[in-house]
Amino acid sequence: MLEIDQVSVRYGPFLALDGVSLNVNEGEIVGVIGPNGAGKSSLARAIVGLEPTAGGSIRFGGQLMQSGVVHERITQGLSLVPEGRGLFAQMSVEDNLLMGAYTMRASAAREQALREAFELFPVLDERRDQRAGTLSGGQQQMLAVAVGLMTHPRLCVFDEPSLGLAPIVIEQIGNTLKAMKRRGLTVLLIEQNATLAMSVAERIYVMAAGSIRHQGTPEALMRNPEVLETFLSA
Amino acid sequence: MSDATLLVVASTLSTGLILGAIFALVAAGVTIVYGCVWLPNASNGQFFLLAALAAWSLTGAGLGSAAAIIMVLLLGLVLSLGLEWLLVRRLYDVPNRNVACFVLTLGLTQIMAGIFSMTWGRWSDQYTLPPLVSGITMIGPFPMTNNRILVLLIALVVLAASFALLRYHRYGRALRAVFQNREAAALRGVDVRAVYRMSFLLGSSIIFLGGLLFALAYSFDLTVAWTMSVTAFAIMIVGGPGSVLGALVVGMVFGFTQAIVSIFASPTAATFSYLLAMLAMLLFKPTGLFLR
Amino acid sequence: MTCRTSVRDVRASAASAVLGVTRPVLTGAVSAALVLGGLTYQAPALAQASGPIKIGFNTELTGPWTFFGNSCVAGLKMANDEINKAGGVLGRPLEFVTVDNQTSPTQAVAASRNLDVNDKVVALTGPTSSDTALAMYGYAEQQKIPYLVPVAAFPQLTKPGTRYTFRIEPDAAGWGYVIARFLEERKPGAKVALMYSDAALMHAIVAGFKYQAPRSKLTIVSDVMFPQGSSDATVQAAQVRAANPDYVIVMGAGAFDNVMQNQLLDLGIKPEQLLHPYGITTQVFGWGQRSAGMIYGSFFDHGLDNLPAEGRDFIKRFDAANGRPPSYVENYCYNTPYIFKQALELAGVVDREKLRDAFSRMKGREVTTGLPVSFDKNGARKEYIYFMQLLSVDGKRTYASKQIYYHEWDADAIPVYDLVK
Repeated sequence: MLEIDQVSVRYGPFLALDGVSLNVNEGEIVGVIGPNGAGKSSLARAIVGLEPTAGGSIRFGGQLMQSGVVHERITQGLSLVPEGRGLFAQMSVEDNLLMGAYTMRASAAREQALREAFELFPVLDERRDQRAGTLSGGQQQMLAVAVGLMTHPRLCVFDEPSLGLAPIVIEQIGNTLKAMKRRGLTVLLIEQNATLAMSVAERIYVMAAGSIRHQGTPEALMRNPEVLETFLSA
Repeated sequence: MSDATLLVVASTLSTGLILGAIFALVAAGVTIVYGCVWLPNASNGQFFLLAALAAWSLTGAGLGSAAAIIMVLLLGLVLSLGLEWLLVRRLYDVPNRNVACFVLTLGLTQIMAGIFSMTWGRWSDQYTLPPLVSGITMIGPFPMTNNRILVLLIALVVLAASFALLRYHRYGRALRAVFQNREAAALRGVDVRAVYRMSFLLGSSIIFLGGLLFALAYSFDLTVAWTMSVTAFAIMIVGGPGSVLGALVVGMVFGFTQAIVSIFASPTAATFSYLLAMLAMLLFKPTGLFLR
Repeated sequence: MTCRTSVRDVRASAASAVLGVTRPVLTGAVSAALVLGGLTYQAPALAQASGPIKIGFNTELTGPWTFFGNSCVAGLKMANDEINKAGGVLGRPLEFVTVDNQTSPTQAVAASRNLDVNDKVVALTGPTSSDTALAMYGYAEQQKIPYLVPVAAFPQLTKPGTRYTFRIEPDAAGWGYVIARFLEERKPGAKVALMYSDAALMHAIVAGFKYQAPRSKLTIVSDVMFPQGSSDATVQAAQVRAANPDYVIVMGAGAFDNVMQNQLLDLGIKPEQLLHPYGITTQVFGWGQRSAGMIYGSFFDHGLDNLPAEGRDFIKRFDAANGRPPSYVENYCYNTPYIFKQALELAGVVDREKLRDAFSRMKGREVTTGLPVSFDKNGARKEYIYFMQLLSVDGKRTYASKQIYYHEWDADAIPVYDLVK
């Protein structure tokens, strides 16, 4: 579904992504792990078009993503829950969710998606009129996930969903992702928290210094002493 | 209450309401542009005046007020599109567009003011439009022209429509979203540049309408551009950038302040009284009264 | 001391006398020799050696006084053309270098300096607003340039010690004084409301009125001043209406005048209760038919009784050329080139000092009314005013009015220069 081939991203003289290749198949949860500064967020941003690529190609659903315009990729069924959650802090929970459904032109479809989101995350229903900025960190992340899923995207990219959250909340998020997968959602999970990624992903890519160093199933990677030493023990 | 007192009270109410509604309308136009695109357009007042002057010329050429208003609104749309295409869109991706836009439009203000004084300034010193409707409605002992009642209604309806658009419509929500976090809005599938363009057109059209309504209700001269520009910015800052409700509430406060001060103090004091009201409100709530 | 009459009969003959006497002097070698003689004697600094005699015409073509400035220019042009067609002055054509001061005092001074330094005009004239006229007054007195003010009535333009400034129009504090006398006569003990714009002229009128009102046993029930650029008077009109005055004295800058008047009429004030201290044709058109019955002050109006033939002729020719009858602004500005002509011929040379002296001792006449044109030691003329009642307004073509009052008085009837600083 998503094929990334030799993609590079450059910030001036600094090469943030250096010929990264990875692919995500339909219905899969794929994890990308790596330490801070490995280029994970640049990868996420390059996929949705927030960052122009300096080389390589990105295909989504077999189609080459050429234009750098973000909203066009979103319309095609891509979704990104960005690092920092990308919420509209001064808008209500409900407005944030409705913004998640922005690409649905019919208001009935948006209302339907809103009902589904509230079913999935009842806590958001309770706080639907509250400003997003006043929610707790965990609730905000819930909201961000719910917003990312409003349009039933074909592929949802999560960038560091566990950042700054308590372990119990992280576990909840893991469970949510698994539930999503059962509903047939394809997920690319970009995480520094390897434990979370290992617990939900079927395949994992390990990144360091802008390129992919290892890849395989969580079980296989757990057995790789180099991976264990470099990333998991850290 | 004696008839004389009632007369003064009713005239104060009517003046406060009409002035307040027009202030609020223009401020809503300014706030929609600034509140979305982060572009402070210093030449708002001149566009306000241009609408009024254009309508004056068209009615002078024999067109009815209603036809002139529609023509001017269309002209405003064409002009805003041209301006957006020529200048404004070049600023969308500029990091310091706040300052760049302010300086650019300040220059535009000077150019337009110069053109006005060389053209309309030579043709007359004060301008009025023929009324949209004739007749007078008695409000107690106070005769209010139906024309002004209509102006008030149009202003309130357009304000309500703008408020509903921003609050409940998909496009209005996107406009607020872009204001808060442009990147996050793009990630929700919003075509940011299209929203910028639409809000510039919408805001400019509302300002144009404000100029037309002002010209219908009052006589005006070329200095109204400056007064209105300052007033609209003051209302926006006090009301909260991007908030139409804020524009309405603060616009009304300013309108009534002017009407009341002009009767209990003097018309001269009234011209700056509302700026004192602005300072007072900023002391009390410097971030603006309302959020978008 | 004061007398109430219509325009006196002597004026008609006086006017023709002026024209008859001066014409032969214009033509022929005599005047040419005079000019040349004068020039060789004169300081070389003044570059007006030959060609037209240049006079700076610094007036209001834009801004709130546009009405007045444009009316003035219309009158001026007519007379200037007539004079040049008849041979000019001292054998040379008369040229008024017209500049727009935008009704701005700053601009008026800048334009005066330009006329003085670049065009080397022999004299300044043109302003129809007291604010711009006052600004030019400072420049003219300082630079010692003869300065003839056609239509500005602020008293300080001829304050004691004035040397180079000469004012054609009676002073405005006097108008205020006469309005009080007039109203006292019309309705003893009348209650009067004042509504006016913040401008020098209005302040002078109000000062004169306030001085005389208690002496005439009038009560001022409302006194509202509007800042420049005002566009609405609804609240104040209601306030005035609530005070239930017998008369409202209305004077707004520019078209704001109409706004106040219409809002007063909307509230049920009758036209007969409205008094404008001054009214010119374009203003009357603005007031419109709904104002028929109101009273306005004037110094020349086509509705005046007993105008001499020259005045009637002026009205006819002005109307033919401009499509509307002239009023006092056009009349004063039409007379301005003739007054210059009379003074220049009296001076005999084109020289600033000699022209000043000629103004101060001239005994001329208005060519339209025959009214004497002579200036006291401060440059002021005799004081007089007519009050007209508007009868009907025919669109923007003409209007009918009738003279209901005439008054002339000595300049020292009221302490003008103490009232208005």
